[in-house]
Amino acid sequence: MGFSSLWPLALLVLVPVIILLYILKQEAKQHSFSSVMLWQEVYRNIEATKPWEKLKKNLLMLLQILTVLLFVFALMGPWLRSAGREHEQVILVLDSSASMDTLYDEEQTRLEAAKEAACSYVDSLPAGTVIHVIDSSQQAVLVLSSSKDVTEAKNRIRGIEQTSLAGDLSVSLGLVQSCASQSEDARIVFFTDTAFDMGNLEAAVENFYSEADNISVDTVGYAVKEGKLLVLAQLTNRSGKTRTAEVNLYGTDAQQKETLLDIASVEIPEGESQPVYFELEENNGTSGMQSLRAELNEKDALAGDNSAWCVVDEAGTSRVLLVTESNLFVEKAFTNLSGIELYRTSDKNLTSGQTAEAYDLYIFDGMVPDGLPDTGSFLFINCEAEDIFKNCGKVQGKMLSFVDSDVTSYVAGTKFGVNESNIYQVPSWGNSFLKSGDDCAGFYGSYDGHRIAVLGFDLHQTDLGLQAEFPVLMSELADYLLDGGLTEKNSYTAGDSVMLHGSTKGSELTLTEPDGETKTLDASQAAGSYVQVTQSGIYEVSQELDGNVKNQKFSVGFPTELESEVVSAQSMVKEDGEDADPAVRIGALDIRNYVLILLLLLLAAEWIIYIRMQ
Amino acid sequence: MSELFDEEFFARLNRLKLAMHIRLDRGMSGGRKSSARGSSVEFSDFREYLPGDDIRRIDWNVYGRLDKLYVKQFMEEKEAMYHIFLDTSASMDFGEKKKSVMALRLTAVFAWLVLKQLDRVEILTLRDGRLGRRNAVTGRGSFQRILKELEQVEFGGKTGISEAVKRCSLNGRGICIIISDFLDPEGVSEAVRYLTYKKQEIFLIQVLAREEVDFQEEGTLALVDAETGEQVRVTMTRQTVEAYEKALENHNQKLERLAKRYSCAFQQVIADEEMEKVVFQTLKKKGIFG
Repeated sequence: MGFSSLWPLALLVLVPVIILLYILKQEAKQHSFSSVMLWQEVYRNIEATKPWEKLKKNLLMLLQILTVLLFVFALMGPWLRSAGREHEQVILVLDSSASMDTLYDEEQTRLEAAKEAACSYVDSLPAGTVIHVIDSSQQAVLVLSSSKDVTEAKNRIRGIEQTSLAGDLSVSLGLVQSCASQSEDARIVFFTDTAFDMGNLEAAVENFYSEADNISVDTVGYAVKEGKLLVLAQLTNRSGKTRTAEVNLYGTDAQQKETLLDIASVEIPEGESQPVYFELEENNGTSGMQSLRAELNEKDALAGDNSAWCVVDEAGTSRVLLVTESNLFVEKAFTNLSGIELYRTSDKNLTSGQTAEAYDLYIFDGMVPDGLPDTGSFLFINCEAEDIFKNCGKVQGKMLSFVDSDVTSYVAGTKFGVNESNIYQVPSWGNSFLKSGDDCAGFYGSYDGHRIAVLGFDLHQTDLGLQAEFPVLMSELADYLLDGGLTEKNSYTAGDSVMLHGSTKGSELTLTEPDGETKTLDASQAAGSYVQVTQSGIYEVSQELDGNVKNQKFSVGFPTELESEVVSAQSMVKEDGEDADPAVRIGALDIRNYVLILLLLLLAAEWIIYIRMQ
Repeated sequence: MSELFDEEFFARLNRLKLAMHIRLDRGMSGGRKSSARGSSVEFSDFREYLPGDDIRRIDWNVYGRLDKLYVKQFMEEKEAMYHIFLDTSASMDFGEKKKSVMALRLTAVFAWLVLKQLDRVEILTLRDGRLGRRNAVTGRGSFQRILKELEQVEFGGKTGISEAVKRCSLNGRGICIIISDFLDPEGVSEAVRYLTYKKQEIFLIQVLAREEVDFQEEGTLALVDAETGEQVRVTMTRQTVEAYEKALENHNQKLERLAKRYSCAFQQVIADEEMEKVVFQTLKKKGIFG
């Protein structure tokens, strides 16, 4: 036998209250009588002829105590273990997404409780039942297929690990249906805490939603201003009451030593988000910090979202080489960008060869060297580079427009006329950001460790350079092209796929995870490969190229938006669009209704006895 | 005239006579026939003259006819001796209409009737196993004295009927009336046996309060005994009240069986009943009055 909840045990305090009331009630009124001789006889007769009379005197009290006990028992939601109807095969789907790490009770998390329930269910299955076990978080994984071995099934269930990934069980439906198609008599049981749409699938859901107080640290970011490090952490109170949170800010230096930098506290109303600011002097231990971590001082129901990380970029100047005969538009636009040292040359071959200096960005305006540099990013303006991309022809007298992309966030939709422009076939690694009708006149992407952007026209043949959007476009292209790390950005969410921008000419690429484990990728996979990040924390990617080791750190945050909402009713389990009974126990016979019927009968008996005694 | 009785009540009492089923052979001359030949005016028999007989009693008419001397014999009239035992324990002083009032009135009624038919009466009070004796009186003139004495009777203490009655020395036949509630743990059987042994005709008059025969209290009560102070905790339910009524019925049945065994009369009287009804209906039906 098991119980859905134990809090009703607190109501047992009513039992001594009832006894106390009866003790108070038993205070007898003094009544003078001529002679108690006959009453003594009555007393003796009742006691002698009915031994249970003593009990009967307190029968109402005993019945009322029994009523309270049954009431408490019913509130606790008792259930008996029962396999119910036998099925040929059983498919158990366990949710291991990040929210399942929330405390289910004082001793275990939701996933631990779900695993325990699943094991109990497996124990209750008749021998010979075919068991499938699916671990579902961001993706569904079949951890046990068509096994009749109960011990093995339990081991596989216990082996399911908690992830920091977002997801609900809808991703497992395909796999579930595939397993279920093996037999007409399949029992499907989901163990989860989150609502999901199971479509027309006939299945049972065992809900492990539990009310819990939780505050999440959603993001942490920084800015350097006037020699000060300004850090902002965003916190959200996901509990049902106003909470005060104390946030610790840590910095990690190159030696991986973590130092407490500052502590701040903030009061957050129920369901709202609040920022927390830290203002740190440059010389206050913040120099040399490579990453920052904001962490709640007190643990809550969900530990995973109590920290957020960000990577501190090394402040420096980017070197940009403009290879052009003359392009005042580009020169002026890049000169006005901060943190950039612009060099100009008309010798296209200055960029190649052993003696060539390395630049962070090469802008080839109308000319391309014989050999492209090994490092750095490239911006091709009105160029042809057959090794990298293909020119499909030219258009003349057309209007070009910017389409929405990572490099046209602020200029998307802007149109301008062009006298003549090249048309390109967008390579597999590229994304178009400029179009002439359906034709691509500009694209960007990452190729062989280089970030590349291509504009298909001579700026002097358009009015773009005269428009206000031009310096904005150059700024956005510079941001993209100069962020030439081994990854596209330095901030991700757990479960994201990170595209690597290593060089195929370098050594193997090493990925160090927050828990210290490392993964290596061959040089051939260093460019364009995707790696899924599953842990929250700071990752580091490194690759050696021409004797220089290139490192990049990036942060992976907890998927707070999807998985931290442990109070919201939306995370209640729904079955076929209807709210399911949260107390549904799979493989269990709910005996609450029987207890309630017994309780009603007891109340009726108590009433009858009360009337008869009167 | 006492406040206890009004004129009309006495007028009706005058028409009553107490039943008397025994022949007295002892006692002082009175108004009651006795088994002895005496000097009353009531003719009994003739017998032959013997020397020494009072020649005034020779029936000369018989001598004229038969030529033999015969002497007339007459009934000896004797007075009957009544003992009224009045229970004056604390339990008698109970009830909204007190049992003690009814008991005193009944005592007065019996005394009046006894005196009216020229018998002798003695009122004895019972308390704590002791006997409170007063002088036996006769003659109607003594009635006022009896009433005064009754008005001075106080109720209190325990009962002890048998112990007290056995202290009473009785000579010759007589009538004993015991007025009590008979709620005496010691019982009354010893007293009845003693009185029967002493050749007494016995009337047992049980006086109960309305509250004792029709219990109306509710809830859990600590019943305190008026005599002993003893307590009994009882939760008044239908069952317990019924059990009490059954116990009272059993108690009275025992008394009735005792009365039958010793040829006594037993009658229960409720304290709130009208005196006329008690005297002219209840007691008369029982043959106590005739």
